Amino acid sequence: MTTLGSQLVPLGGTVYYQGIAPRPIHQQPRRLQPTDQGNTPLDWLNRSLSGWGMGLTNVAEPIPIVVEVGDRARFEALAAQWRKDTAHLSSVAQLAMHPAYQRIIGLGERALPFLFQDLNREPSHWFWALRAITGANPVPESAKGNVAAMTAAWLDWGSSRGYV
Amino acid sequence: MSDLYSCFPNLRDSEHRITSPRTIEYNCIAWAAGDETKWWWPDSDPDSMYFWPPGVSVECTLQSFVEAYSFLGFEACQSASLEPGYEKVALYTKGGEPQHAARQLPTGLWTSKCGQLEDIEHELGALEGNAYGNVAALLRRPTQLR
Repeated sequence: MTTLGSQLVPLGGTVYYQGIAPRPIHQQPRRLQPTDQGNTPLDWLNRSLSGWGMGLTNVAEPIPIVVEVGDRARFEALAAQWRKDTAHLSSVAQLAMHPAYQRIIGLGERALPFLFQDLNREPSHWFWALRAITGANPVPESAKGNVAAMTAAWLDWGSSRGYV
Repeated sequence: MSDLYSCFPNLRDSEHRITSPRTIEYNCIAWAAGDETKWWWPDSDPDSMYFWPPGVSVECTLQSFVEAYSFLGFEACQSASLEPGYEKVALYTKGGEPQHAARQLPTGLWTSKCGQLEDIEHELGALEGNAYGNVAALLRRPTQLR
């Protein structure tokens, strides 16, 4: 990867999702170009804030999530295998310990966009994986076991971080 | 139906019928307990997101599952036969680990929610096999008004 100003340039077989909200590169808002400098609303805002000692240069950059080409296909294949093998199971441990599920967890943060997209499409037992990858647990005590409420809690959490 | 038949080949040659569409809103343990709103399972994670009756040991053991149903008034019994005035629950284990619960219907058949698959009515032995193992415990309580 190289950078041109604040622009990320994908190289080789890797697609870079930048920002708190990981979205495909083609869905991202147009990024600032070098020729834009000094003339954009952001520059105007930055100049205004700088006058008050509040320049945007002090704002922390979001950590990019890198999703490799092929991750989606890999996720879809693993998810399909997991669904096929575990549809009859009730055991949360057996659902989560299935090899395909563990491999999805093994993708780490790269799996998050796909997990949230899948969860947004239909409720599924991705809660364990989401907790394992993010370390978060947004499900309130009152929603324990209520799959619809668990899904809503995770989607709210994901939405607030730009995953949904 | 292919998923049910592939998981439970004994179903093919026994009396059974599907009684609901697929859903993941509840599982077999909840369904046998009369709850269609939650997924019950003992998850030892202190931050578990799944439901398990409060006060019941959070272990994936037959004893823990018996405790959970005791919480609802069930007690151990010996026979899977229909007994007027009682409703029964059967617990299936595989390798000693609980896998499934079924609830007896007034007809003497049993009703099961099979994981994320459909609810079915079936003979008790029809779900025994590689997927759920065998019936390891029978419980009963006086019939509840629903």
